[in-house]
Amino acid sequence: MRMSQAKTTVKQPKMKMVTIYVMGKKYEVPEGLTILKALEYVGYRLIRGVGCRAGFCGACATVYRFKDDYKLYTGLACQTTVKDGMYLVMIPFVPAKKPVYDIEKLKPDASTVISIFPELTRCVACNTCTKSCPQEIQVMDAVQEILRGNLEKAAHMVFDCIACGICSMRCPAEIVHYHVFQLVRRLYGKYIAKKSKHLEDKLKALEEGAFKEELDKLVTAGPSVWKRLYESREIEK
Amino acid sequence: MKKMRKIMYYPGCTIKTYGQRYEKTAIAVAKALGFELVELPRWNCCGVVYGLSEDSVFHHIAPTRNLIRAQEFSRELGTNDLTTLCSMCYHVLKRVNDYLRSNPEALEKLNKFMDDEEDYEGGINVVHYLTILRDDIGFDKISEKVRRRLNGAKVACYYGCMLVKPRETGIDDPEDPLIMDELMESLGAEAIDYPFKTECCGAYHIVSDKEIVKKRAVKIIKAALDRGAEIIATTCPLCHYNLEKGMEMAGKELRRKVLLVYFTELLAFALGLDDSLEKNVLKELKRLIGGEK
Amino acid sequence: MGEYPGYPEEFWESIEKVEETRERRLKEVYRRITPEEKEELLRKWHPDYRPEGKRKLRIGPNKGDSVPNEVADLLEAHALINPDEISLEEVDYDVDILIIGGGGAGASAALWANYSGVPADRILIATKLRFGDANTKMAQGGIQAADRPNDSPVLHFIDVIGGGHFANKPELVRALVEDALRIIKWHEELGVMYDKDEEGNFIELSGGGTCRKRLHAAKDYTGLEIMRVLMDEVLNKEIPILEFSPAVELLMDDRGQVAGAVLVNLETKEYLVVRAKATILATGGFGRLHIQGFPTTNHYGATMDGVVMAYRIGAHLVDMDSVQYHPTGAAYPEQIVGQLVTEKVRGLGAQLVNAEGEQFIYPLEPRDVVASAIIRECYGRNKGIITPTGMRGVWLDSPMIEIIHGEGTIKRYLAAMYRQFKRFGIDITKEPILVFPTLHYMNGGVEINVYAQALYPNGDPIPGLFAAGEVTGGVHGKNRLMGNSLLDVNVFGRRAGISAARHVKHASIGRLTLNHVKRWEEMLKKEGIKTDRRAPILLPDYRGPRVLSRAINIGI
Repeated sequence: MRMSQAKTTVKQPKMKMVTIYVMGKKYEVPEGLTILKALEYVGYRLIRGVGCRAGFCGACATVYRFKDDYKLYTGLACQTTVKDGMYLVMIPFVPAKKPVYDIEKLKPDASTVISIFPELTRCVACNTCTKSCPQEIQVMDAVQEILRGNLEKAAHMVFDCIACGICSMRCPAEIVHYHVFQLVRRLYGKYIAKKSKHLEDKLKALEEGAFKEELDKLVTAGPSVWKRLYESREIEK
Repeated sequence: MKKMRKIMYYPGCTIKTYGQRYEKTAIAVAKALGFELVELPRWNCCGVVYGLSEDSVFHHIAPTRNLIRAQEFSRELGTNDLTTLCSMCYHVLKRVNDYLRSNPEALEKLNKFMDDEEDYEGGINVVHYLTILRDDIGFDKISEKVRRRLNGAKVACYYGCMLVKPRETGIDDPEDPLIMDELMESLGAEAIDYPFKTECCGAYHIVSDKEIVKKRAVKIIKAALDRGAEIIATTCPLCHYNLEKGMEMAGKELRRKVLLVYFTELLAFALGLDDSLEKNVLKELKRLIGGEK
Repeated sequence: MGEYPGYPEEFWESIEKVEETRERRLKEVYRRITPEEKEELLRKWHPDYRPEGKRKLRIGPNKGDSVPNEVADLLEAHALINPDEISLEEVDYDVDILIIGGGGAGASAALWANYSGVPADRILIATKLRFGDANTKMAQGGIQAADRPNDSPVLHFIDVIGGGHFANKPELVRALVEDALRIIKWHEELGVMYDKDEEGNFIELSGGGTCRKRLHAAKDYTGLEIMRVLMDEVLNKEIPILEFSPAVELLMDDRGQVAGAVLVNLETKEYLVVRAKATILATGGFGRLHIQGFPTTNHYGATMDGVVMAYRIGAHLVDMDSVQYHPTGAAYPEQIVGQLVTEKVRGLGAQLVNAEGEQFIYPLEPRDVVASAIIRECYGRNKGIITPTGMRGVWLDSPMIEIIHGEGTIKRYLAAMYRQFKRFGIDITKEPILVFPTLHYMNGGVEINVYAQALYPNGDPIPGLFAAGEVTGGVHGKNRLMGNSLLDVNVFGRRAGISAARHVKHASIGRLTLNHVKRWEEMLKKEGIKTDRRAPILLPDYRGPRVLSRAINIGI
């Protein structure tokens, strides 16, 4: 069943075309499409390798080269525009089963992280991970910070990680960075960041019934009362 | 007021996790003696022993990257000298630096691979903290600044193996190094000579085979104790850790315990820098040596 | 590696006007809209009010209700499966709780069912794409909870019900605002990295239609941060997940209970029969239906599957006539048209201005008001920018944020957005963002009660069927406020998990049946609905026109 095409994917006739190679096969596609839209344009109905289509979920990790250029480039298919001569493949999956742990039983320090991910110490500081990251994260530096126990700094450094897995595919030490980083961020959020006093107080008030009477009344009050309250409420600047 | 001489300082992973007291006293002592240790920005793990496998260029990346960091920082700080406290880090950085300086092919290969960094040109000098004390400051100058003479305290200096071997890399004679002993004497202590001062502590066997470390610790400490040592001074956090753990595991095998300190802690004590010392270390030193400045 | 040129020549005249008026506008606060103006604005310019966009349903529990054409197309369609070709004798998975959908609501439900005593191996999460592929991950700006001293759940309630045009189910709103505090506490314990100050208190902002600053955020990756922590915890509990296995039809039993679902392995096309004592629908929204041709912020799989399946067994839908268009979707460049430009940008002070550089609406009115105002500005007053591909838009003056909060604010708190535009040569710290409304949220859906049970038109719970998140209706009325969807998935996901856990203690399933599909087919015939449409559609089809016109079925 055909879907109504959104304005975005229908292009005007007489457009400039570029040549791309999808897993070795040559195709002509309109200039200005993202790799993802180009794949669909040439006929791929994708199941793997598509997620949010907006750069948040890491589903569309793509690896590519250009003619006469040995360098290997990486990017997200949904956010990268096709260029003439692009020679690409999408990585549909990164094999890396996550180790299971009970966060309640962990301590927020380097030795905890290393005991769950001992391969982390194999890092040879080659920086391939940083070069592969489509989110501009200083991946190797973050690994180093974790090794010496600066979990707070590392958690902030790796916040923008979308777990696309390109770093882990290329790492010679076979570290799965995004699993390590997920643990570090949770350890920071749970144990190192301070807990909110405001929230505690308000929750206590709620459990003690401070809002019960008013809410009981509101629930049965009806649209005209709600309208009055809504239109007369004071808005914080 | 003479401007403080600045030196680039490479801490290494173990100092930051286990050897914080070593670093704290080293920085305080340096300041009292007129030089400032400035931590290298964005340093990474030195690569430990992997940096030594000559035919594995890959494992030279980590230490070389640190040398490049030092090269970048040297322009800002105005010095090419990079110092470190940990024997393992010193060994790796110095050895790789010497290797790259004498092997233009290896240097080129690494520079080409690390296309995300500037090329390393070989201009950094890796110099151990002890060497700075002896050659740049001078032990006699240090002696003049002593506020608490160490009252003939019997100190056995433990060098371990990474600091003095091989001959080309080490900071002193590999069989009979005396640099730390001389430093201790200049502070008023009595440096005890004993046969195992350069015997390996067991290094990373502490992770996989603790028995080896225990045996070595017993051998080393017993030899020092038999010759009357009250204190053992070390230069490496790994050695310190192993001797400490070894002593614990040995229990009654050793007829008595000995105080294990970093040589910088003795220096800090002698120079009266009590704030830089850990409370229980200060207490022990006062008890053994005597209190007032 | 890519020098993208940023805005084209022809935009710069307008951008300069925006820059000229900026200093003056920093002191200007556009007046709030009156209730009468609001009604007229919506009636004339909100896409929901276009009569040609809708039609009356001819079949099912909501027969006679007006819904968007694209929704009606899917509800007035055949099932994907032919019951005669499905054998229910062999059951592939026999579980206590089947959760259809692996987004925020699904993950929440799974965890709370487990916390409530259901063993992990008695739960099964079936997802269409990967676990976590959902609209939840894409939510950016924040999650509402009334925890500051000058705020309270009572004020939150009033905001929600007012934003929803007073059409919300009040008991659901109460559940939402009370549970909000418990949910944030739960997140803190799990380790979610919300933005906090040095004392540990959350940094909270205003959202459209909120009378207090109560949006908790994790930079502009709030949804991603919450989702990935929930995912991590679901994996730690080792709750089984079947990926790339969407449900295509609910199963019932001979006692009138919902008894699980028929799944299809997207990669092998094999169907799987899952028998479950409780089924939780957490299938999300309908952005990929591109209602009225709008681009969307939604993820690839947002095709309203849960609503379709629930409707066929008789579930009541509410507020399906109400579609949320997020006022600020990217309008340039072409590559990212429709993608979300979070409300947080307005929350941090950026104003909406037309091509002349003048404001035309208070930026933090509720979403339907702002969306309509932008459409009016572009198509009614012709004061918008027209892009080379014919897209229209107005400016969202983001550089104001740097002036108001200090240089570096955008890079810090809108990191995702900054990166998204930088990839195309636009620096949003210096240049305004071109925006136009984009299809964003399904305000209505399957009706539920406070126990997250799905309901029949007469209000009775459908035995064995629960629902949570965007698939449900009644929580947000006719218009959802920012930050309440992330809240919704957690609150009602939790309630669905707990309710389902309670239900399975005493539930027992009879003989499995797909008779409801046969009855549906008969109803289609009876109502005279002739179509070859089948639903759910599972995924949109974006293949290029040439390929589609020349594709042939070669049997593999």
